[in-house]
Amino acid sequence: MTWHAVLLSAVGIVALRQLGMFVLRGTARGGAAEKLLRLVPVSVVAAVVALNTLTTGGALVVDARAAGAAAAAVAVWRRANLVVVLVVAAATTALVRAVS
Amino acid sequence: MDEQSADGDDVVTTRSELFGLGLSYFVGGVGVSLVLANAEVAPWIVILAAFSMYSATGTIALFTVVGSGGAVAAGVLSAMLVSARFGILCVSLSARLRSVAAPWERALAATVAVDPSVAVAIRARTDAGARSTYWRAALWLVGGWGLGSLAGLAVGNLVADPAAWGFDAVIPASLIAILGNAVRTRDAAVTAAVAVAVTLALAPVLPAGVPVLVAVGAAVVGLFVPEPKATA
Repeated sequence: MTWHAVLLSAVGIVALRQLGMFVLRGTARGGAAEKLLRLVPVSVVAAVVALNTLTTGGALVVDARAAGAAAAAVAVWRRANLVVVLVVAAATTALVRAVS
Repeated sequence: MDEQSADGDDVVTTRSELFGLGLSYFVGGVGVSLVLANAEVAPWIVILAAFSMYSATGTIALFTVVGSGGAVAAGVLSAMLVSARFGILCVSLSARLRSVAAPWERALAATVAVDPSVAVAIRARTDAGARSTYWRAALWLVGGWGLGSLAGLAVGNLVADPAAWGFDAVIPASLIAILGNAVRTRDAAVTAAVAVAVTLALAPVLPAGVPVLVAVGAAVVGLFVPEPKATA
């Protein structure tokens, strides 16, 4: 049942890429439209992080995932390498789970 | 554009830089596939998503929304919204490839366009250099991503309890890394903060999938924040 959601998303994403390549050209550079296109993904990524780390089935839950995300945020803030960020997040989450 | 020597020597990536790009996408592929496999998504759907969407953030957005009980339409819309940045990337890429690549090649280039490949390509002085740099980077990234997605499925089969290893933390952590780069400008930082607040406030009261779509309104708030670099 999920496969059609995957294909629909894929078609939509390819269309967005082709839109940028063949239709928008120079017109979308600079100005409010470009700024909005830059900020929309930021808003969705932030929302998905919030859902993934602080909710379970619609309820607000603070658990090991939040600890892992906080550790990742500190690592990113200290400009750590991506692999280090991922390892720190996974290790923190595993540790909190092990002791709780 | 620069009209200097239009030869293939104008390649601005070193082999170790390309390897680093490939490795980061390999790790990303492993993470996404592990988490999806852990959420009981069929292996062939994991691979279908990896190769047809070719967007880690889009795939995660789709499965976060659908996996938490949201409607398919909300999931697809979230995946597309998070992938809107590929459209902008392709505008930049289009400017460099228009004079050196045929339409079919540009269509193929757009289909596999992701942040790092476009970023390194547009550093090249000449359009020909941008084209060859782009394809080199794209090859490493697609290869790393594909191999990583397959490896993630294999590891998922070997590890009995991925949650005990904290594997599920890899996805939010990589998204936080993406956000960390974005929020160095003040408008993006405000957008991210408002989106998080809106999502957490609405998640308990609205149907799954809807809070993410409402949170997109944060981008409109960010539109009114002046752009100068934040202090970070």
